[in-house]
Amino acid sequence: MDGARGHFSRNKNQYFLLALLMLLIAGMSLMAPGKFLTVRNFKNMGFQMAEFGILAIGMSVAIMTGGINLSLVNSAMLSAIAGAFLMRGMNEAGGIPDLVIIASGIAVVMVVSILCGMINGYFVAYVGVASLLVTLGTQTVFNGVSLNITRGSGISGFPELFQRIGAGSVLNIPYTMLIYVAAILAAWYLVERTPWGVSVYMVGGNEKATRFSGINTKAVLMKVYVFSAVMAGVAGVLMVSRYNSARADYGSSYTLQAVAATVLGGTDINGGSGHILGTVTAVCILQVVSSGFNIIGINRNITDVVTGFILVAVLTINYFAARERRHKKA
Amino acid sequence: MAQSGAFLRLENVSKTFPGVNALSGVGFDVRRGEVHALIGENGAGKSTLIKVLTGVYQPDPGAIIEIEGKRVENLTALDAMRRGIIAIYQDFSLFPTLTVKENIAFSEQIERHNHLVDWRGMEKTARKALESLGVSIDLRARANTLSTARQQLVAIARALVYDAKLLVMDEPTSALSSGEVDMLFKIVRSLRDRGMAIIFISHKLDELFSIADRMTVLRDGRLIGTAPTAEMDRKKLISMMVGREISDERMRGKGAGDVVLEVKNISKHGNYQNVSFQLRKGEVLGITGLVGAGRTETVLSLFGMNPPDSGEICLEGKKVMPRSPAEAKKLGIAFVPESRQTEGLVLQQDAEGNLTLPVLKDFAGRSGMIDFKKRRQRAQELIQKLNVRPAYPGMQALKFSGGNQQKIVVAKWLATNPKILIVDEPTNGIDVGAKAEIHRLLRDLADSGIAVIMVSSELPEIFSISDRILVMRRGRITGEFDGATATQEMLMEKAVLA
Amino acid sequence: MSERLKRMMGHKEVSVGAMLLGIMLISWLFNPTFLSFENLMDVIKSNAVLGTCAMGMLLIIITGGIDVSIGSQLALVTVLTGQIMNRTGFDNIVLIYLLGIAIGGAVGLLNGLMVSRLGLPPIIATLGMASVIDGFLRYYTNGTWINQLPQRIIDFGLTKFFSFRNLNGSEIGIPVQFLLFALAMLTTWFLIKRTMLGRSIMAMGSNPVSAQRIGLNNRRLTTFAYAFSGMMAGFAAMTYTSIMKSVDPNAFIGYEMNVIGAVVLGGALLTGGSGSVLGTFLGVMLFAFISNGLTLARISTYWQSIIVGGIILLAVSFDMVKLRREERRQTKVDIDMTAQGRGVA
Repeated sequence: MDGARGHFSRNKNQYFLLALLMLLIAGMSLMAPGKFLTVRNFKNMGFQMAEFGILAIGMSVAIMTGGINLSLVNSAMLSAIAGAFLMRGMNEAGGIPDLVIIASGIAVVMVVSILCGMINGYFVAYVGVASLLVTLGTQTVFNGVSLNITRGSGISGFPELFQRIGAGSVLNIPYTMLIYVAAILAAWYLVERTPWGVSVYMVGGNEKATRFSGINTKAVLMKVYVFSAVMAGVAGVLMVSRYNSARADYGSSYTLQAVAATVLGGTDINGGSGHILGTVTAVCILQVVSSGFNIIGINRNITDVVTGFILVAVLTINYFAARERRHKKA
Repeated sequence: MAQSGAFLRLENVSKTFPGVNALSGVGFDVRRGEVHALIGENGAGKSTLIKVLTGVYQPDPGAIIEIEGKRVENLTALDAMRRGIIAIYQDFSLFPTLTVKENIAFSEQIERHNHLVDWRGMEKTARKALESLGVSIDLRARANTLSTARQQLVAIARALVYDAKLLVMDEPTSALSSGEVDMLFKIVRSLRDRGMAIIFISHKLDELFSIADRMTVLRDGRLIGTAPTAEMDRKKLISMMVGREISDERMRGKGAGDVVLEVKNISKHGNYQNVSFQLRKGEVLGITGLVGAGRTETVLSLFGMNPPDSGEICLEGKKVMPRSPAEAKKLGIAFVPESRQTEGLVLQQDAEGNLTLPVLKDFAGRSGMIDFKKRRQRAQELIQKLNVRPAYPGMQALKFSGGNQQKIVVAKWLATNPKILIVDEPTNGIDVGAKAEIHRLLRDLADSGIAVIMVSSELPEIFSISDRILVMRRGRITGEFDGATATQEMLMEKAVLA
Repeated sequence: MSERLKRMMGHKEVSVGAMLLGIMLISWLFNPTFLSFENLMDVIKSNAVLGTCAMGMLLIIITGGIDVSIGSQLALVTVLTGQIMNRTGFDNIVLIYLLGIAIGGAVGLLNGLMVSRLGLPPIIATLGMASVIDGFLRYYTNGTWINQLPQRIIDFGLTKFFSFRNLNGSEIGIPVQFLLFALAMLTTWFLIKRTMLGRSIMAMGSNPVSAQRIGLNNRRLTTFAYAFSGMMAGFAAMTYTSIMKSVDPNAFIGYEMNVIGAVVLGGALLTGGSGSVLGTFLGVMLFAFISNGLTLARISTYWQSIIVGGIILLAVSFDMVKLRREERRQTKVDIDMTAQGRGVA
């Protein structure tokens, strides 16, 4: 499945992650017998994992090019708030069929996300500013615009049908999971199987050499940030549907967690290597930990703390491992 | 004028790297109060020699280093600095956002282990240093606001604060105007008259005849000779620089075809001026000259990276002006850059990825998905064609040897079926065996109909396959020769002299 | 003399100062009470916290790094010291300040170690730290405020120096927070301009390779910069408590953007090696007056975020464009313009 970049070490990494996931599921089941390994719990995890997972995919692609997208969550909420605003307005106006309202809302979400992505992409690819700095700025701008629209409170008043997206399920599989799987497939297709995807890894590995090979690296980068923002938009729709309201401060802890999932999933923080499915596995791992802790009774906030530690630990291990490799060569 | 007694003496210095003898048995000495020029082509061993005497490299066992008459073992970089051996490289290593004052005197403060900054002391030190050079520069100006010439003066002043006894200057005039060169030489002479030993590395023979007291020529890692400037003349110098037997056969081509590229009078401010030449199918056009002559800048203009301000480029009769490598690629122009590790390859990726990068779109089927089997096949074909070893498309590019890495870079462009292949220093840092292989490869490619432009500083390489040779100097083309009849002396003359 | 003038104009502080004067003028035109002593003191008082944090952030930015955990540090210090004061009634101001500085310094030290010893990129190290602190605080406080603080703190916060009574009978003077801010500025200025430690940090930010070559210990310098910033944050946190007379754990969400924005406004380059206390002070004032102006004009505070983000974007873009232009202008080849050279076709 990993035909594009066949390093033995990377395949080792994927298997290790899967093994870790199995281990954690087993561990959690033991620690909370009868509560973890239930359809109900897995269904719950499915509800929560989707929005986070899609965000993590969006973050991964940016990190693969050697950058980072700090504005990911803020663009998710901005586009979701824009859509929510429209939906509420249309709903209050009355007389418009629910499906039309929802479709329009989602369309607005997509348009706004693409715009956010293009803003990021413009500064990173065409002005040439480091993505860290660009997304630091756009994060604040997007947040400000969101707050301006919501005035600090939440937007609600959507058609009931909308809630079904985030809360409904078919055959015990939440709709959100189906959307998540679709997103994974789309991401896998684009990033692991198309020329653009290969270019993403190449740009992350050595932008200059890729440019010297006649690839339009500016266009590649622009598409990266638009893709990232579109993923964020989808996640935003799921979040708003789940909470049935849109607030500017939703999902604030997701930024760090998305980076953690990316890094845990085997993507190099400096870019050039990684795998979408690695991030997906890492998302599962983090979700299992979070839900498991919750069931056992550990406070949700401690889970956040643990995620932070995981991130630092993975990066530290990578750092020292790379140093070892360099010393061995010399 | 020159005080006798060598400050630094090297004897039997050799330095071997895997596959390359950078230096072999070189003996060299520098006296106090002299300007000693170190001359040689690219790859002659000058920078390696400098790195040995500044302690950056350790020479092979058997070398003797004497400083002020006393033998020194295991000279380290810090050690060399403490003994007064200071090198000023082309980047000056200044602190760009700090002031002139600080750049000159900061290290002194560090040596003193102060906790508080002694601004007055720094001011005094910096002022004294500049005065002793006879220059006045605003002490409060930030280093990155100064012209290159002035930054260099700051670097020299800083060396004085270090109490430099031997000053090594590496290509000091490459970025200076002639007025600034005069200024620099005045200072160099005054330093010499005060007893400093100075090693001056430069290609610009005219300047060296004016400033140097003695000259040493290196070639292919060996000492060719050392003599006082008074006993040298240009002809002798050039023949010392290049006077090697060309044992390689000159690989002759099958004969050139129609004109495929015509460059008409292109100019770009600060890069090249009034450059014109033609290129025919099936021929290898060598472009030589010294570093800084503008060769790379000129050929980059054909690849969309340095478009000219004026002039025309005609490809197969049609006017073209590529503005990006992507555009050049579409026109059928390929470029193998000088630095294969930073510009030519994505080292993290495998050979297959690198080989197929320019033509990725070819492997996308109707679904848009890449057919990886097809890609691997293509990669295998290219590997076979160019005899890349080991023949593993899945191996990381990093792990291939220099020569094979270069073959990968050339191979990746072959996949685009180029009309014109430009290579810049194609065998830089590659061992002799692989060199020959690559030369044969380039010749064969030309014979198959591709027009090849080869930029190179290595004269033997130029001779081995070029049908025609252009020489550039200071942004202009100064000579055009037939590959069969040209001699090294002819080329070097056009490269270094007006 | 004109060289000196040129040199002065080249300094970013001049342009920032000019912008500041411009904003002050515009604000005054809209509302003459703007330039009253009372209002100016008020603005400085309410921005003393921002200013103090900016001093610490300046040092980090000089090293070429960044710290997005400043808001969390402020929250942590205010909560911990607030709890202590609330539960034990402890009210020794000096010791409480020292405690705040110690807590902030400890967090900063951890940040610095992560960056210098574990090789973590500053954004990730500080993002992780912020996350950890936020999680901990949410767990620990459950979002509740602390409202009962010892009277001495409250009195301290209202202290004014050189005060007099104005026409309305209210007390006008220099607020104590102003002096605290001045103290922070003075300390930072002294560090950066007068100590070898500060100059070494500046040198390292300017050219880390050269710095190492002349014997500077980049690791220790980096760690110090983050620790210093933490101490400044701790100091600022106490000042904040003295102003607000209460502790709200959620007060500092997103605060780091304001701090970074102010430092960037003040002319420091995010790439490192440049920046000054004066410039940062002007940046803070500019930021303060823009916010103040917006408030007076009844524009919502939500616009602040947009403006801060916009400032950061514009500043970094401007720097990059300038850099590109300089690179393009560099002559790579000394072209032979002599008659002889031109004679050859």
